[in-house]
Amino acid sequence: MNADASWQQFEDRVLAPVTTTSRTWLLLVVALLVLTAGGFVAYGVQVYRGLAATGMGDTVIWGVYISNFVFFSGVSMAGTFISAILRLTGAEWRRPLTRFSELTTVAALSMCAIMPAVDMGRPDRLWHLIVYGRLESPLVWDIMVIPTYLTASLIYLYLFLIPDAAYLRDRIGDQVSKPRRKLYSFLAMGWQGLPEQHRKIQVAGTVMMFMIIPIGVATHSVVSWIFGMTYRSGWNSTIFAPYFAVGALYSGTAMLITLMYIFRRVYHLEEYLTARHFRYLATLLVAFGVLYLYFTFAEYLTVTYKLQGGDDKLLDELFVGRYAALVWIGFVGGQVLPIVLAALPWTRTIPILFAVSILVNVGMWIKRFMIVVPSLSLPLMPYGWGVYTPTWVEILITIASFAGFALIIAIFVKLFPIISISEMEEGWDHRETPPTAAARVQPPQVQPEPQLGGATS
Amino acid sequence: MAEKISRRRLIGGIGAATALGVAGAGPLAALALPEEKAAPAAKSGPSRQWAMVIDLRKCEGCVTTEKAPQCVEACNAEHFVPKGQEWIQVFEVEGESGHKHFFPRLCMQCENAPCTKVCPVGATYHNDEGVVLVNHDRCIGCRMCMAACPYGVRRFNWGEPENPAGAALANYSPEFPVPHRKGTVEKCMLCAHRARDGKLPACAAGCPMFALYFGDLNEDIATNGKEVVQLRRFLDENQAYRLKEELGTRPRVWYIPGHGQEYGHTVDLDKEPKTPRSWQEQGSTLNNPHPRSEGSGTK
Amino acid sequence: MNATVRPIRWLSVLALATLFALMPLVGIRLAFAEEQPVKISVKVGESGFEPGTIEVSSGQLVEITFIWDSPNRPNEEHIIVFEGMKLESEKITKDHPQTTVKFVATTPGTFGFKCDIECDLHDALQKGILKVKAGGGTAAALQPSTLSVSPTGVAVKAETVKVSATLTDKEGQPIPRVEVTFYTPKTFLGNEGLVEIGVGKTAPNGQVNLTYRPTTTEARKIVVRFEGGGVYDATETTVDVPGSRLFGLAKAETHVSLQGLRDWAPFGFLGIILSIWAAFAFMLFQAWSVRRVRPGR
Repeated sequence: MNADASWQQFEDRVLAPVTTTSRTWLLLVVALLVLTAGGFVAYGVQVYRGLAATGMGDTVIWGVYISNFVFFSGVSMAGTFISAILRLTGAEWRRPLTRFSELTTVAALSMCAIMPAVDMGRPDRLWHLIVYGRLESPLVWDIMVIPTYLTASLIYLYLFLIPDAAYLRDRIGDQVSKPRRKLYSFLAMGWQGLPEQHRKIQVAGTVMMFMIIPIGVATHSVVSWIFGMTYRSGWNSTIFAPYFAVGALYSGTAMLITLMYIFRRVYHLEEYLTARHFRYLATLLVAFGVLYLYFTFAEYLTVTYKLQGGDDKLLDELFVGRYAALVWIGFVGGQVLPIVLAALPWTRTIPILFAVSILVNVGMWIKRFMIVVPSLSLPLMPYGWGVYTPTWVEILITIASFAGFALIIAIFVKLFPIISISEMEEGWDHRETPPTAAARVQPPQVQPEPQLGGATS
Repeated sequence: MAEKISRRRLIGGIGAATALGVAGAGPLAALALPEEKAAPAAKSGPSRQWAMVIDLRKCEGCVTTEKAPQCVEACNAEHFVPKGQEWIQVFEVEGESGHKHFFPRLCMQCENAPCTKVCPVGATYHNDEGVVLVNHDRCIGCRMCMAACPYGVRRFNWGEPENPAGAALANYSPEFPVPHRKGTVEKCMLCAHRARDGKLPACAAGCPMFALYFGDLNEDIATNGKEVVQLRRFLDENQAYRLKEELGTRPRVWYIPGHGQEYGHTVDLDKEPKTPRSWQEQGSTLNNPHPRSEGSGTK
Repeated sequence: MNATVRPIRWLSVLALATLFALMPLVGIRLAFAEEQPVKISVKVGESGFEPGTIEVSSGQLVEITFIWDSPNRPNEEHIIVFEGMKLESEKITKDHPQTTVKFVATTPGTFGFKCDIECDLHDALQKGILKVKAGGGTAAALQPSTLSVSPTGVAVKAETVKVSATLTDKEGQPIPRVEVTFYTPKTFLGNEGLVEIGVGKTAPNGQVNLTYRPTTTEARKIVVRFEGGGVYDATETTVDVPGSRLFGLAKAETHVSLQGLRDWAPFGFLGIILSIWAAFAFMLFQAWSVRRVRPGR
């Protein structure tokens, strides 16, 4: 065991939410459950009355449900990027971030997968998608790719959770309830920290690391092609796939900053989720933001130059017409201002970065809404513009989806350490914080797990 | 010993995974089946490829008859179309000179239809005669087809649609989709059920100006109920065009350019078009035959 | 007394005889009036038609002679057509400076006539006006015409039918440069009608041809019709065309590019997804096999 006092402090801090249940946490979970329940009630109303309970009509056929769908699929890119790409490149600073970024991906994808089901006119026929699915349809590509991505993220999250589950089983197994102990035991798969076990996890983890990046990119491409394979103004664009993928990187990174700030504050993890992490994520945010800005610029420049078909009316409504306020708020507040604030050294402070990350995600949600609704309200034939106002059913369900996202994270935080203990231990000696006074008991290479009366190798 | 067991198990595990994959590929291959064609009804007679031609020189929105557009009312009555969801619509289009003309629009029955491509469950498909149909037993209400249609012809049953009393007893078929179902997409299906019986579509039969021609591309013939023309010559000689031709959807509905001039619809004629009535207001075709048909209609 | 009666008797006999003698002359005069066409000369020159307006009465037999009159432009050639009357003159040139168009003006109204060739004087020759007043002249009879199709005039070759018709007047002389329309009777969806399948102009020998591709295999009739024009009355004739199973051979299908790729690419995608899931199974197996590892050897 690494008897370093700083290590001890780390363990204590990270295990605190797992071993103790604070009142704040309970209140939060109750509130989230209430909000989620509200969503179920609203959905019940929708099933009874049909989609007439929403604000959608024959012109604007998709509304906030599909906006949420695209938004959550965007947020999900976070974990993939941090866990996979940063692991691949051997960036040591990713270590504290991997656990909750993978968790973000899983939570976001779960909400993302629910949204189209909520939007269906005949949810009783969900099974048709499996039995009668047609490979030519972008929706079926979605049905294939999103569960694949979700499963991949779950497996990825799980693989690196195994040592932590064993740790929890051994360290706090007697402090928690029996079902929980059984859970840890089961998930630990008899982990003893043996080299062979390490190797198996490494092999699987490496394979997944390589696989999950294209799966992630494929998910966003496929989501974009729901729109990109139609003829509508604003959707009929060839760059939609990379556009959405980059947007996902941008909004995913922002969500990571948001969550990182929250965990840091609430669980006093300042020493592990340091200013350096914020700076690095901010740099990534700026990079992705600039790239996303470039795609936005390229898209609107070509459309504005040609003014083909209905594009002129659409651009009019977007930039100076009925959607102008939302579009400019989303653009300036969600794309320009965050980049500036995150890039300038004197605004790159932790609280400001937190605010910036919220701005980004609000802006990205607005952006998703702006992609879905205005192109649908543009008249296809000589009749008037479609009008869309979400109803209380849609609003409640949207709130419930965010609540569900937070709920998954909150429950996970209770069950497992939010910073991967095993991963931190791996890189403990590479940390740039100076070692404390207490001497190490063992040389760094050997990493036996703490045993509770078990045989040692 | 431990090594041998683990290797054996590894091989066994891989074998199991492969078997699972192969077994899974079976039903999953069903995913890849091409779009389902309707089981062709036993029919005699020539094979048809239906098309429609709308002669805008003859269409004046029924304003000179002082009625609502009769094609819309005929279709509403024939299919008990829910109010506000008309399958054929007549638009009043204003030209450069301020002169208005009328433009009926129904489903284009595209040969390269975007809607049939994007349907995830194959609920919308082409039948053997080129008509795009919707199977309301299959439709899951995702509305992807509505997003893909560049002409906006598809309508959705957002709530429970109103069906006439006898509708529940009606023999549902995609060619005659009654009763209408909540949460599914519907649209004009070129009266495939009437074509089966050798009759003109309801809109063409109902037009008092004989502006709608219904024809067969195979036999190269069309009729509006009064005259019979050679379809392709008719199209060529009258500069017929299709909507949004540049999209490459290859619609089966042609328009002959015009402004109702055959019925004196000039700049001076300033009559307002009336709103078409729903089937509830006008009654079904069984009670109110079409303006030009003899006796009561039968389906 | 006797002397005065005899001269009166002679006078009356003489008057009667004169009257009777004059009768034929009156008859000749009347007949002459009937057959006498209205002859009009129109010069076709650099300033246009001279006269620019012609007035006739309906029912009259009209002969209009067009005279080529542009000596300063020796290469000019003209064919004069009458709008709405399906009448066309021969070509007039420097070497063939005169042509006569004969017709019976049956309908009252105003008709235009113009040069139909892109000659240099084309713009000046667009404004000829023919006014036909109602009533007036004695109704001249339209001459009968005959459309005939010889037995060899109908030829079926593979999927094509060729029909050759000849239009002649009552003397058997060909009627050139008039429009003849071909129809076939068809029933479609319970509607019967004559479907127009072709239009042609008779050649100088009065012949007009149709090449027709039937779309159904059964036998059919083809109706050839001349609507009348000039001095001729309408006429039509019907021929039978035997059926052939080569009729109605389908036109070439439009080829969708890359159809093969479109058909098979989704299977490639499915294959990739399946391999990914196989990899998942492998990874889960790896995780599960962690359980199997025992410490020590």
